[in-house]
Amino acid sequence: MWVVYLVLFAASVPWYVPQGPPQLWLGLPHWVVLSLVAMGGVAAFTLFVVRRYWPDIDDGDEHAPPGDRGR
Amino acid sequence: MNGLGPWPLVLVGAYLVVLLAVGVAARRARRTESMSDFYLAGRGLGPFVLFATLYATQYSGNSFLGYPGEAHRIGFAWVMSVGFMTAIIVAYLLVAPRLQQAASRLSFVTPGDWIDHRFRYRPLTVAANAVFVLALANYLLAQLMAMGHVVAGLTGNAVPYWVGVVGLTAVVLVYETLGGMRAVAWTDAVQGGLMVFGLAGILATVTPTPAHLESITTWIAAHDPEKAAVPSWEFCATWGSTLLLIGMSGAVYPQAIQRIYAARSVTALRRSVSLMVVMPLLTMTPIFLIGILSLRELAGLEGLAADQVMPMMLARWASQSAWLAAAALAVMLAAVAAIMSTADSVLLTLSSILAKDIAARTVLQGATEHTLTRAGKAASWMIVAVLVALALAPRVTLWGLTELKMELLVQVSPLFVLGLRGGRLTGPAALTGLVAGLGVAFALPLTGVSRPWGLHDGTVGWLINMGVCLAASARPSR
Repeated sequence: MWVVYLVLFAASVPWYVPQGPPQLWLGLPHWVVLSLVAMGGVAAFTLFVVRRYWPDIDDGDEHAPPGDRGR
Repeated sequence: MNGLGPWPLVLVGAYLVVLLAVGVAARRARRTESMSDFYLAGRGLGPFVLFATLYATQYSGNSFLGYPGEAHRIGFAWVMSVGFMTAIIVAYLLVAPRLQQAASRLSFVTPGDWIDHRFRYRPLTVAANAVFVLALANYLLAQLMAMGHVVAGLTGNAVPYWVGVVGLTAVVLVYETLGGMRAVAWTDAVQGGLMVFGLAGILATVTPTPAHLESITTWIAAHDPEKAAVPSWEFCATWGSTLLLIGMSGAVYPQAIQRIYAARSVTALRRSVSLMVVMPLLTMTPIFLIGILSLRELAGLEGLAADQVMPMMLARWASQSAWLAAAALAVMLAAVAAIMSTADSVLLTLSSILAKDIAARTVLQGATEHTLTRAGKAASWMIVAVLVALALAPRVTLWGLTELKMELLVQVSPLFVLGLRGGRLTGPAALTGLVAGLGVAFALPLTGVSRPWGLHDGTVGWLINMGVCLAASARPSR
């Protein structure tokens, strides 16, 4: 799951776009459109993750300090 | 008044009356005099109110004033604002599910309660609370400045900056003191509705055709080519650093954590987060476009003056037609709502930390919850008085204040992100990481190597902080 996020966030930063004057897509520089599309991907994937993986159960007290476990 | 006539004042006045009435209603709805009732609305927020309060709190004066100003200053690369607002929701997934369950079981009120419970190491809780208080005070200062900017900008300085700061702050203080989190969440629902309505106004107003956008982009590329060019590698590093910095710090905003505690159930929190996921695209894209449109319309604005881009653009549109005037008014009210809704949440959280984590452990040991709540209210009034004095002589841009706050807050994120994973991270190790992270973040600017490779000093500090915490977590247990 976090690998997918890493790829999508990396795609939202135009480090891979060659330097130079921008091409225009829908009136915007192409790298701006690429960034917005990647963010759309993050939003869609997060909707999937929230529905699929957010646990709805009580998972017990696993947050106690290390010294307290097993008492 | 800038083509809007007396309407801005009339609408803002009516809006403030509604907020005060909501404050009175929230006061009447209180069930007990406990801290959890005042600061967490009795842990009873359902999905709609929770979504509204998360939304209205996350999108602030910075979003409506600072962000168009920053788009004006740096150009198209400010599309990163869509990314970092989304990153906050993604990072929230690292924290919210487990923290909500622990909070409902163990009755947490403040973020420090979790740190106390997990690490049971007093120096760490004190250090984390110091970071929270500094970051919240900084955040509140940004909101107070934004109040002054929006009132002065929309009325063409007929109502001066200082009246905006003092007047709107007074209203926030009154309704919050009356109704606590219940008042804040209910007013956030009103404010969130106004923001959605205002953004619909922006979309209707500024959604330009591809041909219109092309003419603007071509103009920018000809007159200010750096603002349209593909960003350099160093700028891309700053962009990535901003995603990390704001994502991680935004997820541990103390006021956002208290909203996790205030959720009625897991389902309520999950539904509200599902709605929040799509809001960065719907909210930040039109705000970003306003900043871009202003580059041609308001050529030459620089520095602090660029924070006035939004009200100046609204005033220009308002003078063109009745429809544009109505849309501008809707956006103007949304901007006021965004600022006030963030200010009230930040102030409430600040009050709870001062009362429960600081006063209750020092000067008011053994005091009743009612006394502590009153002390928190009094302390918040005093802090606001100091911040209003600072806001009356602004010296930093709104975005400058935001970056400073994030570089502080991000250092607390390992306590939640790693602490909630249930690893071996101990209190002393976490404190070592926190101090190292803060030390690096503040030492780098003094050594003349600020922002190495384009990374924020806070990001470099955070990497070291996480490194210390991860190394400590990986140690074999004795």
